[in-house]
Amino acid sequence: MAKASATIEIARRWANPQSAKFVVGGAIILAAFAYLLFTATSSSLVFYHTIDEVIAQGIPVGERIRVAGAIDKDSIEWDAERDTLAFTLFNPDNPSQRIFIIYRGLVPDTFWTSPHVIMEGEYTPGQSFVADAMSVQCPSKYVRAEIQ
Amino acid sequence: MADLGYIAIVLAMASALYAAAACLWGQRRGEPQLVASGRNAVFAAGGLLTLAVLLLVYSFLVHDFQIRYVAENSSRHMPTLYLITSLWGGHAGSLLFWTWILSMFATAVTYLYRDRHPALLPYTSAVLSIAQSFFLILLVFLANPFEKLPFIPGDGLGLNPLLQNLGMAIHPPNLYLGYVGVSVPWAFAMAALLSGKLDAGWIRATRRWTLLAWLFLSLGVTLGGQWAYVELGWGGYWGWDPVENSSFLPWLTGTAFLHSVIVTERRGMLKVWNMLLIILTYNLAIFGAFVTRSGIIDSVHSFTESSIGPAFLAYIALSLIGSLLLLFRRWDQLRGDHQLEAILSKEAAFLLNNLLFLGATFAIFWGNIFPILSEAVRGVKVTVGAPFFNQVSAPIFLAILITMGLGMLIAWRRQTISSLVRSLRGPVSAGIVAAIVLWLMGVRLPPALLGLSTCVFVGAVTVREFYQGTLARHRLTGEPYSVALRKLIARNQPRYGGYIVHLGVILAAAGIIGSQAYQQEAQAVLGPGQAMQIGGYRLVFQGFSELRNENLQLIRANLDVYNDQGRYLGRAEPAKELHFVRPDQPMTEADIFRAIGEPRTLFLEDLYLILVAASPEGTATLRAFINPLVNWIWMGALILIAGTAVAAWPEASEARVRVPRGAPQPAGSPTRF
Repeated sequence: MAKASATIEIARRWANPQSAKFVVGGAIILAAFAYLLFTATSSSLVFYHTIDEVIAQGIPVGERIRVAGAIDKDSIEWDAERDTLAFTLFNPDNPSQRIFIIYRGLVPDTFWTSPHVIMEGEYTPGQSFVADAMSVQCPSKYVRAEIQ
Repeated sequence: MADLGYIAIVLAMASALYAAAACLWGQRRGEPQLVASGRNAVFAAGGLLTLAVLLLVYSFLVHDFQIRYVAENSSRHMPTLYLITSLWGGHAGSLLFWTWILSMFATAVTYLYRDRHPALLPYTSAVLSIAQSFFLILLVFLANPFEKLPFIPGDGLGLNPLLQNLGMAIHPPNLYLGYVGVSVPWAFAMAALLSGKLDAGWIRATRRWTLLAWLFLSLGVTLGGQWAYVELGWGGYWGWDPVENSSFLPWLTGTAFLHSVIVTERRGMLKVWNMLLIILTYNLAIFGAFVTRSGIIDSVHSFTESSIGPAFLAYIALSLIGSLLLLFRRWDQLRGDHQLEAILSKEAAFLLNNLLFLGATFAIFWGNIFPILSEAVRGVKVTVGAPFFNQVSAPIFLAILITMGLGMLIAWRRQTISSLVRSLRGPVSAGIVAAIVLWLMGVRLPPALLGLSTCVFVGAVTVREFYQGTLARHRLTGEPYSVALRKLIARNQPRYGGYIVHLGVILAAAGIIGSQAYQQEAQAVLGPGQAMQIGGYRLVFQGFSELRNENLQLIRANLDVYNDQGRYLGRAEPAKELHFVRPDQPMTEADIFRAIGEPRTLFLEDLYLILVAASPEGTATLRAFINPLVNWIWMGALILIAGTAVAAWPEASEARVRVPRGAPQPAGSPTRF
């Protein structure tokens, strides 16, 4: 009984021209949100690939991707003058899968100690991966080596 | 020591569980003795957790490396301060620290309100104890900070040098106080739903707790940004990283909550909104902890993947579903006392404000979990990066700023268009004049121009509130202006404190717009005597200097800074620092150059310098940024603190009312929360 009268009450409020204004206003705001979210999402998608996917699928030249892997510490060459970092990223599960990375940009302090890194960039016609963004597990990364 | 600590945690868990059950059953069945014993169990849990925290700190101080957590997070040659802060430097310890803060809040609330809100309080204590039990179960079964190693290592691994910094010592406790602090208003809201006492009583009881938690959240977010800016040396303060976003989300819903409750107190409306917002805020705070600890979203901040991820997810699901069920049960009783009368009313502006904050929350949450969603739905991992967040948040935050300005102007209930236009005239003119001046100064990017002139518009609205109020008082009472202003604020601290917070937010917004739109960057490799140019500064490299002590080696690039007229401004010294504990991890020490003689370095822009590399041949690779208005963000945060303090400070009138008759109390003593 109470439920039924509540439903009637709600129906009456909806029919009220005053509330209609708020409903329309709310709908416009919602639509604006949806549009904003949709356009922003579709324009900034970056696909995330593992190294074996990169090697198996072959990423088209010019497609922007993110790739994560382990850093081959012996391969690191840093040309501070030209601000270019070159190193090999390998698949920790299958170390024979490797990609060569060229990175231009700020090298975070943590890069030197981090075992892993996430690079964002694209393949160039010369077939090396040119990255312009690097994420390293951060300093506040509390957990490091565990004592065994 | 380790065993004692673990026993304390186990007993705390038992106490918290008992407290929850006793308070709940006692109140349901009307058995005051049971409630009283539940209350004592809350205190017992608080005491036991305090003991556990002290034991762990003590273990750090005496280098008890048999405890795994101590061995992994400290070493023999760390300064005492950082030995103490190691308590929250790692996973298990920070969980203990979090739980301890929660138990202190529970204890404080249970004690301070022992004689008030008899219908609500047992439920509040019960809800806080349930929340606490969850964390204690994690500590006992999944993340024991007192776990012992099978052997005793000679020395520990030490704390990451990047964390050995005052900012990093303060930042986590600060954020935790905010995260955990929102538990209090949430618990009161749940108590209101459980007891059916749905009047504004719970809101009034928690106003200061909410402000306090909100203040800590605000500080946590800004201090985190400042630490990143000063310490990490990449020239920015916010990277839209999932963990940073997660700390921002409860701030957004918390801010909406703070505003929404004003409408309930004034007009008895938006009651369901308040409940929804505080439920979201609490769960987003827990979600923040979950993101940081589960490693589910790739973040530069997260702890490595740990086993407690699923436990957190289960807890969020439980608390979210439980809270929402309680809310639906009382839905009918939460109808507003009034209906919205007009679109042009303060009520509608507050409602719009709620929608916008919720929209911002959803957008950022969406971007944050997008990789997980896309992987679950389409099987491919896709991320959206900083461009997404910038693109969605800029229009939403602009709309929030405009709503802020309009909301302060518009009257309660309804306002005619003609009177609104009249009151808009002044502030809008100020905004237009600002736009013209900025245009002439060379600020020509449309978003920056729009954003900054909106800041001026909102600033003008806010300042006029103070000006008109002061003027009216002065005319009425003849008080000098300074006295009139002070009394104006004292008469309605929540309102004017809020306006002061608004001023801080406007300042910070201008800082964000300026630094995002007009950052400049330059890089050069310089030999001694060579120079580089950036944004009207000339930097001449004068070689390196080196500093060495038993802990570290510091290599500084000495740069003479000149302005564009060739006047010498001073010396900048960006550096690389090598801690001998971690020789493989050099630390970049950025220099933010300031010169008294060059006001723009103090107020308008940061000349931010990084030594990228020092070559053995004596050349320096340098990167320089001009970051306009970054200072304004930090100044805005300070004003925000001041405003929150004004809003939360006990009011003179209130203090008089609360003093019990016959109980002499020294004049000016603050009322308790």
